Amino acid sequence: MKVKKILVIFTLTLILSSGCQGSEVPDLIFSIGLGIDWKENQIELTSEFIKPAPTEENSSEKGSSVIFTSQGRTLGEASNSLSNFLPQTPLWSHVSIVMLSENLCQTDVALVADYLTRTTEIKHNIPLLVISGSSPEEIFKTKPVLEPYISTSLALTLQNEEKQLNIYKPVLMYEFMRKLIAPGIEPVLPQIKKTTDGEKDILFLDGVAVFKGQKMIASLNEAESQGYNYLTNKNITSGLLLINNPDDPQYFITFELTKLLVEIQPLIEKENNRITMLIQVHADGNFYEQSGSGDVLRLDKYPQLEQMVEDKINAYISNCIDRVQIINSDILGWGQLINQKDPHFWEQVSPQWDMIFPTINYQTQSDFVIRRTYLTRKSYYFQE
Amino acid sequence: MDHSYNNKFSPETVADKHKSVLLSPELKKNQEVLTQRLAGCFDFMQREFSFGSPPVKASIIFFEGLVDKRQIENSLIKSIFINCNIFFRKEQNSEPSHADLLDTLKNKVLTLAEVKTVDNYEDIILQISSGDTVLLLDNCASGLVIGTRSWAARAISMSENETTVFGPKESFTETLISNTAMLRRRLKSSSFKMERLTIGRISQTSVCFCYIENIAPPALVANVKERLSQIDIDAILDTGYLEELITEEPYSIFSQAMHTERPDRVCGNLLEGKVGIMIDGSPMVLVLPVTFPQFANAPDDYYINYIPATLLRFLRIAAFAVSLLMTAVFVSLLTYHHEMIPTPLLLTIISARQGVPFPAFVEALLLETTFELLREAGLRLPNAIGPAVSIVGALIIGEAAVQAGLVSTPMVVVIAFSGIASFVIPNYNAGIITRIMRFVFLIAAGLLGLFGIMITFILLITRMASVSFFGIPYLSPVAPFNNKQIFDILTRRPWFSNTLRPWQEGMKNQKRYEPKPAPSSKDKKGASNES
Repeated sequence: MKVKKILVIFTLTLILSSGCQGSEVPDLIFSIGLGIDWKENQIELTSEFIKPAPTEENSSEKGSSVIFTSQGRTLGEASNSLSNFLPQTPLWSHVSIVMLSENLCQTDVALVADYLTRTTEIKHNIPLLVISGSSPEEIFKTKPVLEPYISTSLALTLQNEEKQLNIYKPVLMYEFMRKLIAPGIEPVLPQIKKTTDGEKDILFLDGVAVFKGQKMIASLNEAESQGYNYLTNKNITSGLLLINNPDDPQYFITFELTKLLVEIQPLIEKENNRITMLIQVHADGNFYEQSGSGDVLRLDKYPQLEQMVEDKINAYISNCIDRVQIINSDILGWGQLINQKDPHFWEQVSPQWDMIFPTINYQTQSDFVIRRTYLTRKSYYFQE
Repeated sequence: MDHSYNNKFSPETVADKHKSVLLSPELKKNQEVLTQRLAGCFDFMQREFSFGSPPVKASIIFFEGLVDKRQIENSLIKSIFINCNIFFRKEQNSEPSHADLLDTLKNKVLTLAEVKTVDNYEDIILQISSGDTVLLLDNCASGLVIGTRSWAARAISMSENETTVFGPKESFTETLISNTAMLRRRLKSSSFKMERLTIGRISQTSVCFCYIENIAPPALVANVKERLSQIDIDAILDTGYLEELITEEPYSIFSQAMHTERPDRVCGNLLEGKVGIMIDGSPMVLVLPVTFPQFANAPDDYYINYIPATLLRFLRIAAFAVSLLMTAVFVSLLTYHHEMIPTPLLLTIISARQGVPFPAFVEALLLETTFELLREAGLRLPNAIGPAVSIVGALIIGEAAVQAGLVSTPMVVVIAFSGIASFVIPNYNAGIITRIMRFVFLIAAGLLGLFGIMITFILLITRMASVSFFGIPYLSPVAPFNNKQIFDILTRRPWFSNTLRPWQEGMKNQKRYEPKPAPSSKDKKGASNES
């Protein structure tokens, strides 16, 4: 009897509690990208929604999207006020990218950070971007080149960039939010910029936005961003490095990185309160291309080539560190490194970290090894 | 002839009345009783004749259609007429009594293989109903049963329900004795026992249950035998009756016995300590006890190389999961868990579901029901119309419904995929249960999404793990877990490493294969010494 009662209660619960959360696909409108701006003391939320189109046989037309913008005093209010004019319920679980305007980031990123981390609808492993020099609406209205939707196109561009060039690393939302609150490290976000090439609008990644506290304070250029990526990315297996041809400096030699690993060790001299960061770079790469002629690829020249690559890597790293020390934002996470090495010392220095960070010395030691030269083992000779 | 079953002439009541009624010494009285009892049976035949000198009155009785008349003419009547006269002439001086005459006929005259004595009406009717002929003599209170069984039967044909690429092709027929012969031909051992019972007050069906004496647990054999002997029913027309009548869990949806029409499959199971039950009139043989994981085994797993057989078994297990859960998971994703669908797939689904008027759950339920309708219709229809239904199903239901916007293409694909997967399950009964459970899962998914699926799954597994049939837990060796036998279920172990039979409570002889060292080859250099 007891089992029967339990079964009846269970079945009733099952039937009566149904339909609480379920909503059919046609009743929903899926957002795939969000842009957040700060205008006139209000949050402006721009969202790209998938516009469903019935599939027809042999139809080559890809899906299209619609852009809606709403305002609110908070991000939650802005997102809810979309329902004022949308016939379907907006669903945020498929948002593939969130773009923050430069204006918002410079004002205070905390205006939106709480909502973004608190909501269960938006995934936390999607990349964040900072829009440089345009509004989110302008970015969303750019016609994507190959992809049907601008948001997915940008997310894919970020992924592809990391695989191929490896100058910018996508920063995922949870990573950014963690760095926002963690002591001893400051967050960064890649920047997207819009430019016009005649009639066509082009979006491209341009530098890295540097934050201090809750605000964006500066940007790194491409070379500095490259140095930042070398220093912080633990998984570099691609990217190109150009050096001048030692025999003919007007031409270039390209190396393809296959591995680059940076180890940073803080050396703490407590007596003098001096900190030195020892940066060791271990890199492997392939001889990728030589423009111009000249017998470069000789065994006796290998050390010279490797040395030149090492110098180049050192230069990228120095560029970045110097700039970051000028800006005075510890995006490299050196504070955390010191905390890991000597927590007591970190306790002492952390209140004055803003004063100490720009004065930290560093030493860079790079070690680059050429691994392969592909199908041609010697330099290419042209007929004279 | 329903009226004959009523009142005093009901065969059941008459049978009880005549249970111990012995034959009368008078031939005429015997004939009267039999004629009265078999009134209304047009196929009941009597032939009276006299032989010898002084003439002895005799009568043979049989049912037409069940006997070989040529055998009756040549080996019975002719033998009596010719041999008796010669025999009597030789022994003229000492005229035998009629009782001796019956013995003489049995031992010295009749040239038939199967002859035995009978002394009551009930046995006579049972024997002639089975196709034997009974010879009655005047002044003699017993008769002779002569084995003359012969009727039109279906020839042994290829198995239709359990087709295989490799291995034996023959399948059982409706004739019990030919089925037992098929088994006896495969297991030529004195320990292979086939015991016979008669079940059914009206049908008097011969039931044979078989086992291998040193392998099948004696408790299991005794249990099955006892349960069979306790059955009191009017008729048994198929082994399916027996499955329900001897079961320990009458309210269970799960198949508690394996129905097979392949003699090799029955033998394989008998060799694992199982018991087989055959009945006269059905080509399906029951094998019990079974476990659920066993339904993933196909007969030809054991006839092909163990590596492809194992991979095929993986495929079947995957197909089982797909068949059970795919539609339910798809519906729950579409209704409750949109975030779990990858965005590119979601885009395709959104486009496909534009304009579909039904919720995903209703759409899936409609399509599943249609699929079941088509399958059932295809089974029942004559062969000539079957393909027409398939065409209607494929074209009208599939193509037209999608074009009309009633259902979406992804849903048709999902339903078709899980439908095909359900046919991969090698056991028909397990396939039916899977399809029923698919509906349960679908409803749970429609009501509560993945949460509902999980609850149903837990309930199902709990129920399956809690039942055991004939002493074997239904989910063994998965639950209770047996690390040695789990490989037998997940993989098809090669014969050389398959040294033990699947364990059963009370099994005496578990050893199946004795590994011997490989013969060393002097010609082969560096031959491995591994045994």
